[in-house]
Amino acid sequence: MNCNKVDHLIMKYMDGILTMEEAKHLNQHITKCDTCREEFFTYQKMIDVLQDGQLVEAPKDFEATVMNRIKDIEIDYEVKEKISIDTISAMVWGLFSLIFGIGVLLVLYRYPIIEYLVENPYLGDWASSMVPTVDILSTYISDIKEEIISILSTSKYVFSSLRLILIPVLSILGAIKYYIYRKAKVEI
Amino acid sequence: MEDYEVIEACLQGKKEMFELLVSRYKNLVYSIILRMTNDAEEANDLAQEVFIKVYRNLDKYQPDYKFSTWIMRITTNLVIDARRKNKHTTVSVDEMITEPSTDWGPEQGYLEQEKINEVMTALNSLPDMYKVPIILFHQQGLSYQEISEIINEPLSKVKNRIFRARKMLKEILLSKEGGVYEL
Repeated sequence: MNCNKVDHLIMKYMDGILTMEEAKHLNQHITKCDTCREEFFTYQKMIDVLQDGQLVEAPKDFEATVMNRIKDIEIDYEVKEKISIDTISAMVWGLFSLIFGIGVLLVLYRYPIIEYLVENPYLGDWASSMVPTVDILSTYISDIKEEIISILSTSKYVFSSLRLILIPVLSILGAIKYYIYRKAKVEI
Repeated sequence: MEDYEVIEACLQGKKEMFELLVSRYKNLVYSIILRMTNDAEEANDLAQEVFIKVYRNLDKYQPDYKFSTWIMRITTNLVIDARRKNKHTTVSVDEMITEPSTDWGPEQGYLEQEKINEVMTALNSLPDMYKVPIILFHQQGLSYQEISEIINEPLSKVKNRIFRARKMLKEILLSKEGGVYEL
């Protein structure tokens, strides 16, 4: 058995999940290998001390001090339970997304919807009167589409010339963000 | 009376019931903080702060978790925050709280105390991100899963940190001379 395998067994020993068979292997190895023996007893010393740590008694007047401090704290938990800003914000965004989603679907399927409605005996007249509006809407959409396409084609040249600068800048920004994130995580 | 019943009572305005929770968890909270700070006075202050914070946020307690898990999460976060704010410096071994054993002879007691000091100094030199999981695992006997819930990190990260913390402790202890290993 090599020393790496033994290291793994020592970790299992420390986790308290070493089997009898593995314990035998570990024992055999550390009787022969000085390095692993030294490491094993260092770990052993570590857990001897750490696991010996029973709960330490808090100071005698601890409860009284805490109760005295909370005596003056008045909290109306029911008030706290009222809708928070987060909940309101979530509701507003949810509603906005729903309306936006329905709007997009109506615009995308405007002709099939209008055709279906024209055939309806009750809504047919109203739907027929809406046809010119839908046509105007389509014109607007195609205008917007053309506008976007022209912007994109212009910006393509700008982007291609700025690419050399943009990529390093974005990479550096990404690296800084990652560094900040890592630092925050390391500090827990 | 179960913890959640006590919490329910507190939420309904029976403030005095909170003392039950303080009695049940004061030693756990105090022990964890003491092991992280090695300073009895600071541990006392921070432990009080933990209970004040718990009291203020009782309505946020989710009964899906054990109360002990929740209070340990608050404890570890509060200690880490406090140490970060104070730019905490490492406390010397002389300030350690451990008492020498009185059951043994003076020499054995001294050696035992030396061993404790050595390990605790090494533990104290670890960054909080390693110290917290190893204290919770080896000193408080919590499982990886429980620690993962307390420090709010994935299980794999908890295992990795404990593994690395052990390695770091071993390196520190091995670098100290004079250790006697017997087989």
